[in-house]
Amino acid sequence: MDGISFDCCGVRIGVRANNSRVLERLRSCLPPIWNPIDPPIVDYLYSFWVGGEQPVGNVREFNIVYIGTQQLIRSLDVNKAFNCLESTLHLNVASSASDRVFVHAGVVEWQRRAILIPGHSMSGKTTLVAALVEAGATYFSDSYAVIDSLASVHPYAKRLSIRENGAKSEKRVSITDLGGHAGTEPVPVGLLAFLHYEPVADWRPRVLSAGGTTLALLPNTFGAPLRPQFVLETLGRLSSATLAIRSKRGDARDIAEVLLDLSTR
Amino acid sequence: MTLLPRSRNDDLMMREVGDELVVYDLRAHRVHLLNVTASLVWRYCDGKTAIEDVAALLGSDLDLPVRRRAVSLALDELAEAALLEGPRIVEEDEPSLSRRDLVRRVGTAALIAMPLVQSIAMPPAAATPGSSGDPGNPTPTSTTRPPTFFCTCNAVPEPPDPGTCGQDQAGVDVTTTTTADCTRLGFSCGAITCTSTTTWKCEGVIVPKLGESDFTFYRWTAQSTTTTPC
Repeated sequence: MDGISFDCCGVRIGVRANNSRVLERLRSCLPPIWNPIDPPIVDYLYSFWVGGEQPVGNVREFNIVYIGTQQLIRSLDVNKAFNCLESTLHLNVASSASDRVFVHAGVVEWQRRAILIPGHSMSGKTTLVAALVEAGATYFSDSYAVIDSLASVHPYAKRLSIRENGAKSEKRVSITDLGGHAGTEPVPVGLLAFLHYEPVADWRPRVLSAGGTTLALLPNTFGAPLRPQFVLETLGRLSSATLAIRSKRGDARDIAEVLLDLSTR
Repeated sequence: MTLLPRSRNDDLMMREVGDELVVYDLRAHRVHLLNVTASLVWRYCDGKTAIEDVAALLGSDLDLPVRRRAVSLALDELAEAALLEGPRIVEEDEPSLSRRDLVRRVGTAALIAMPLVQSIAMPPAAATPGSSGDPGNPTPTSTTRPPTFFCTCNAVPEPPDPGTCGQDQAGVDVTTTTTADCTRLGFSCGAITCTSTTTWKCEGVIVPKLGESDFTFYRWTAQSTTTTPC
């Protein structure tokens, strides 16, 4: 039995497993913002029981992941169990971070300004982030905008979740596999883009008021009910200082250059 | 003469953003955005001021003519958002108009004075999967309603040092106290401070056996919180 511990944004996470290769794999795919720490006190403890790769007789052992005493997943596919662990780790930190506000958003950096693309799952954030990176932007995250109390956004360069087969399956790739590179330093936000993908869409951006921007960000913000004062303060500061637009959008590549230009105005 | 109702203060968090007001209703799990006119009407809701007087005050605040009908519309929207105390009482002589009717009568030039409340639903606070309780930053629970208009307490409970919770301290209760300022719509309430007192218990969480001995980790969990009023 082996274990590792991390601190990310004030949340201490411990992961133990009966197979050290799982821990090495996890260590290699967590963003740099996750700092290794010494145990033994953690806020959340995950346990990964790796099943047998080959059946013994007629018996195959499941791969099981727990958080505390609660079972998260039980699967014969170790990759599926690993992806579940990785996703839940990120979600847990996003909901529990004490000194950061996590917004569900794709983020890139362009000329020392961040572009945030808030949106729920399957709204096209990853596709647009990949297109922006292809156009020359620096990758920050395809899922989480990590905002501090000064309204700067920090890189959270996790592996991108690329959907395949009509969104029926998901592939995890690193940004270097796509030919891009990840940011390392926090930057102020230059543009908030609330975009809704449609195959045939008219690009008609409408500028949002500061209050309207806060209202649009809140449903995409993790942990808001637990820390409403801190969340309102941070999002209010961000909204007051940043250009925010809302529009439908078509193909990501067509809109990437427009967004890069808007972010520097 | 129709008097304004009182505005609701409990279980609300507020922040001014630009000239708008964002109000988080912790009880109903909804967030409301009040434009400048709606937020000014809400500020004047003290249960003692007449609607006619508010229309004049608003006109002075906004430097625009404001009709009593606009105030009535604001009250309707504030009542729908559950930001007023008690039911919305409508006097017989009080005009009732929809937003469209009002715009038609006053013209689009006066749109800036039209009250507007936009609302969205928020998910309630959910326990993190597998945790035995809040990770150590619970939402404060006020046991006494703040009597001062719009003053809210910013004190947030702080847990004890995590390093002090372990096997030897299991079951021990510790109390922490946080003192903070009261704020009123982004401004100070004067020399008023408030205090949040929280009782914490050091609890052990046992995780399942995975081939070796059971593992127990310890954490502080909040048992109760009391907040002094502003």
